[in-house]
Amino acid sequence: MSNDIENIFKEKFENFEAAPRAGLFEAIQAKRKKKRRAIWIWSSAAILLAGFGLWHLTSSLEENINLANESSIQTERNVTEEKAAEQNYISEQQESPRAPEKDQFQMNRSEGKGVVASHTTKTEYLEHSQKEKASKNKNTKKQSNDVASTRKIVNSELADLFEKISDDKNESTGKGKLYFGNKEYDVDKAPIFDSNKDLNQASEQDNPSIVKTEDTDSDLTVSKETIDQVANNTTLPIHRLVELSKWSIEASASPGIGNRRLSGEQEYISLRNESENPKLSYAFDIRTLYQLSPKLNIQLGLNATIRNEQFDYTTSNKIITTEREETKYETVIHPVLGEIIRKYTVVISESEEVSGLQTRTNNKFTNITIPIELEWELWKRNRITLIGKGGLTAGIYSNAQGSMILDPDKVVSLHSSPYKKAGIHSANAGLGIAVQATRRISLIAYPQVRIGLNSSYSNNSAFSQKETGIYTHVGLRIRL
Amino acid sequence: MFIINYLQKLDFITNRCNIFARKRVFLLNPKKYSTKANQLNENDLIKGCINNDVYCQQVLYEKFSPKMMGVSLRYCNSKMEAEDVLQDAFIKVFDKIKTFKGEGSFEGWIRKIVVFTALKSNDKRVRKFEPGNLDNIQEQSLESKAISNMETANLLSILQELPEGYRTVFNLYAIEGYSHKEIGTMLEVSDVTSRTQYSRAKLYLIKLLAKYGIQRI
Repeated sequence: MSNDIENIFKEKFENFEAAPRAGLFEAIQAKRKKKRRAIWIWSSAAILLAGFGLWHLTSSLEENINLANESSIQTERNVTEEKAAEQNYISEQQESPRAPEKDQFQMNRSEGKGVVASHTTKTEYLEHSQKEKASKNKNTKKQSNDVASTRKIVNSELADLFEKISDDKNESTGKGKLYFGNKEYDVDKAPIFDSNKDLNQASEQDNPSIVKTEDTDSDLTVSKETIDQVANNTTLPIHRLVELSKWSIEASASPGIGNRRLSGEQEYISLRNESENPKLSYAFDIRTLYQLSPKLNIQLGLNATIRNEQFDYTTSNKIITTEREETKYETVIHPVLGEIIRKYTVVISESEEVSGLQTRTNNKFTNITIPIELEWELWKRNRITLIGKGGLTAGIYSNAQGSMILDPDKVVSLHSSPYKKAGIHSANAGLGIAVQATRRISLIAYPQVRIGLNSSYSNNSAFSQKETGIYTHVGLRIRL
Repeated sequence: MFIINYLQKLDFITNRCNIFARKRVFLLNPKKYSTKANQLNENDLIKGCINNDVYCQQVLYEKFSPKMMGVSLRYCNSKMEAEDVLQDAFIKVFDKIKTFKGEGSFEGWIRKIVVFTALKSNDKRVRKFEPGNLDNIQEQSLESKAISNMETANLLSILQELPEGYRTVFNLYAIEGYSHKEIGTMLEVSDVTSRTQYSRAKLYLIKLLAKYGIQRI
């Protein structure tokens, strides 16, 4: 018999048709368009971001390569075109006592791109190689490489920095490192900026292999072939100025608890509060940071928050009354007519209590926002920094899935409720720590309070719902 | 008039080769062509939908939506919910129509999408697999004639009264014709659970039918 039920249901429902509401097709088209538009927007934003990152990386790489090329090109040019000038310079060096480094440096600046500095080093290595050639103990190539490794390249960027620092000696020189060869100096502690020590003295201490100009032979006749050979075989080390960019990127994931503030009718609010309980929520965040001053930076990015909520509600029991008519027959004995069958109708009403409908769903509110925040350094010791931050987020998209109570007997789907699609704006404030792992990478962790500024429902609804929450951002910050 | 005649001729041609389907949509109001929907065969419709032709999509929607709404209603608690499922399912159909390779019937393919969308939508709710109150239920024979005489709408409301877990398994096994093993995979439960849920669902259904006056002979 129970197989009959299966067959009957199958038969009945196999070709069962019902009309969906009018306008559903238009809704499908609109949703598809929106979805496609969203894909375009996000993919183009991702491409732009990736493009910017790539451009930034390649430009900094190119910069470094250019530094090396610039120096090698200058070396060749100096060798071929300015041989006479070199010889003049050397003879000047021999005739007059050495000029202080600061003067020499200014000469560098006056000719730009460190050309004169190259003269000095060129002279040094030419003399050195000549000396070695004369002693015939080692081959020229090896020696030239040795000498090259001791060379100093003064590039325009470095020169700019030197000038700036020497102008503001009393002011903080900011953060950064200078690398000469394998040696690392803090910018403000580099020997090159010590007023009591000139460049050559510092160089001699660091690199004793540099040969002083005064000690050279007076015989300066160097064959052109030797110069070319030395210049061609010289691989120049890249002495680069490592200066950290003001830009950083940050990515974080944030578990937390989200909630909402309701205002409206008290009865309705208490019903909502009974049926909805906050659950573990998540936020994901990617942002770019720009350092306004050593202690203050501004941040702009993209945040996706998923607020979860447990909805559990049972509507009250209902009493359903059904009325049916029943025809009854009665035999009546009539004094004249005899036995008569009388027909009459009785209305029977039956009432039944039907238990309420229980709905249990996991409500999910998805918001995408653009956070604009200021972050300031409150305290710093060694690698650990205490940070405070605050700002606003501008909502660009919001959606909700799940159920909510509309009135005590009605549970509606959030998907079709008058949910405000424009986005939820909010104010943020947070306090946390940043731990510097390497020169560029820091680990960050900060709990942040979020308070909604606008209602997540349209203004014509009977209540106002503002999103709130505490999310703990944990992530990485990379300085470019 | 000339233009309309020309376009009608063009429509006659395009019904066969469907190359100008996209252009035609921009030129004509698709509502005028609703009578011509029957002229388009299923392959034309699919091709048109692959080309993102709004007219073909509308024809396809009009052709299949009533039946699919019937499927969706069986899995959902309310009409509104069923319409949401139908909407999501048709979005998937239009997005994924390129992947339909012509194996099996097209209607079967759409039906499968609707069923899976409904299951996914119901996943958000806690699907209860619990015995329910079966104390007073006994296997009893019912008057099958009385059930067959019932309106499908009434049967639907009885079906919708079943607890969610029971209803899903009953729908999938009895009406859709999936095996218990397949159902187990779909709902991420063992096939034994599916089997027991199904037998309980039937008992529950008998109780409900009895409640509505269809009694033992």
